[in-house]
Amino acid sequence: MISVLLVDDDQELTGMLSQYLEREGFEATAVHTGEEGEIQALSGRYSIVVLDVMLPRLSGIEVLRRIRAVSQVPVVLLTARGDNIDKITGLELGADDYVPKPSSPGELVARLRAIMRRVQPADQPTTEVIRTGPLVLWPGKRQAQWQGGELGVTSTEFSLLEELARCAGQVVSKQDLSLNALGCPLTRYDRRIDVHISSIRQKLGPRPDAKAWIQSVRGLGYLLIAE
Amino acid sequence: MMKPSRLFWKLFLAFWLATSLTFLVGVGILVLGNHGPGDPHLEAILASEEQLLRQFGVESGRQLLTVWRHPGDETIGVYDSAGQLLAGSPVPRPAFERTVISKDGLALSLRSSQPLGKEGEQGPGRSIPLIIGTVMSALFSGYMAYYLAWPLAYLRRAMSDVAKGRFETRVKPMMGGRRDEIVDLAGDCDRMANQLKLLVEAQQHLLHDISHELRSPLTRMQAAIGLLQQEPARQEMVERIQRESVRMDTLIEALLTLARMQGRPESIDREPLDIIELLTVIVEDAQFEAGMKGCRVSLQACPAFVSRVSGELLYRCFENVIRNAVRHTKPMTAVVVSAEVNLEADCLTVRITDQGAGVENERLLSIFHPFERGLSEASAGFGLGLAIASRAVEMHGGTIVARNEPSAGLTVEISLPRQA
Repeated sequence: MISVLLVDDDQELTGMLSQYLEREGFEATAVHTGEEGEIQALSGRYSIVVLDVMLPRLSGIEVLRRIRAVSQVPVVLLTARGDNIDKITGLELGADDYVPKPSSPGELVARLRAIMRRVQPADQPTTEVIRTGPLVLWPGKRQAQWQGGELGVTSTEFSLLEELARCAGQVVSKQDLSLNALGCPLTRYDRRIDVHISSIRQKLGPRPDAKAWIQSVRGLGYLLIAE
Repeated sequence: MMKPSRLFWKLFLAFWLATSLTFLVGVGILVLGNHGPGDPHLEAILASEEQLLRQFGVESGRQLLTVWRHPGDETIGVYDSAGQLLAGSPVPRPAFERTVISKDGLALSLRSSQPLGKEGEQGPGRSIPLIIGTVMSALFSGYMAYYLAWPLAYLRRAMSDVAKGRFETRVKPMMGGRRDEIVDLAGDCDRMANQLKLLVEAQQHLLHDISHELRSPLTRMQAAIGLLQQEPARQEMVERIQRESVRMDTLIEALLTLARMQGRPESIDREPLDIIELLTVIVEDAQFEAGMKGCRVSLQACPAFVSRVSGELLYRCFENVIRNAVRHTKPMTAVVVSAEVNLEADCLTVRITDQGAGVENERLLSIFHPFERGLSEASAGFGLGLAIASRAVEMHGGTIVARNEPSAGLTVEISLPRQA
């Protein structure tokens, strides 16, 4: 059973969402303040956190910043539709996805399932290892090593890195990245892939020749440089 | 540095013309008062001397100069080409000099200590003061024109920035240490920009809040629809959707009321009305709502207070404040509405006191702003009621304040002046 933590100040909404999620086979717990949300999200009891951006006092963005400082637990943001700043800031801070408000609860469940599929791959052989250059990935354990050290990436970032590493040295289209790593088709003006890639780039640092390890190929997609 | 403006050139030319003319006229008067340039007597002597030298030679010239009884400051001398004085008196600093070929073929130099007044032969010495005067007046005019014109150029740029929506423009700091009406104008311009900035921010904030407030019921409706789709038998979800749509309607109506009250106080329709009677009606209505949580609303009223007011606006005002009090008072307590007339100021003071938790002291002012709500009341009301009340009181020229009671609870005090 996947346990979901709902952080939203609208108690009526979380009540209904909990019922919906439970019927869809999730286990849902709701808290209504940012402070409570932070404590619960870091308790390690939840597989995924659904975080409202518009929380009174401690905003959802701030809660996400605090969670990401210590934990890579998957986080889905609930943002106001049309509020691009929240979306981009959230993704940059390491949110795995966002769902605009108002959306149907079905949409939320689809996003949650997509993320959980990435985090707990059903039929992945746990022994598989992907190596390219200084990068080593263990998709089974969702662990990454970079230049000999542990690489802290969110689950979404891991999936993107995995897709790029499997085809290292070749261009992977944004559409493929979106479908395989995010679990949903690319939509117009969708900046999610770009934001996640930029975050991974920062974690990898520059190559000795000052280029980035992940190159963007205009109009085509992204490419991980193979050594 | 900015490009000199048209105003600069206008001011510059005006100042320059004025100062130059004054200067030239002054010089003219001075020169005419000095009985004209040159001395006709000296001129005649020099002309004769020249003729004598040409036709008769140095000797005749010397005789003439010997007999000429010259004034102390006028001397004439005849020198040869070696600079040797041949006739007359020495002229150490000649103001006039002419070369003359004498009868005996010598090149002589005829010198005079005083200049000849005529024929522009005065040399450059005469025009130097004129040039200096003109240049000085140009410099002065330039400075004056610049001093007046440049702040206007800055002001203009600041205004056009504001017109383009860049409200953070500040022009007063650019004025340096000046103190005059132009600087005051710059200060006013800065204040205007700041005021506009606040207004635009408030507007954006309000829009943001409105969209959030409208979306919350929409999101709940979406969730209810989702649950209905999972389980079509859950009829309570239909009621829920209905409730949310009523909430949205209430919010939109409140927003429209607020928007209608944005106008000037003169724009509302007033009619003579007894406010005490109005309060009695509202308190009776509120009694019903209060009864559901075991509370009472008591009215301590004074005799009639008739004023020309907008009944609709005041009804909404008192209704919002009283219902707010009923919502926040603890169960089984009373909300007290007291009204008294201040005969001196001829105004009515209405106090609405609840027995709830009160609000934090720093929020006593902001609760009258739209969508400002207490931390405990997650979804009660829409945070527009007190904003509407405050706006309605303002439209009637009254005041509204909130304060915490020492014994816990909040008092909202509304003062309304009587309008005849």
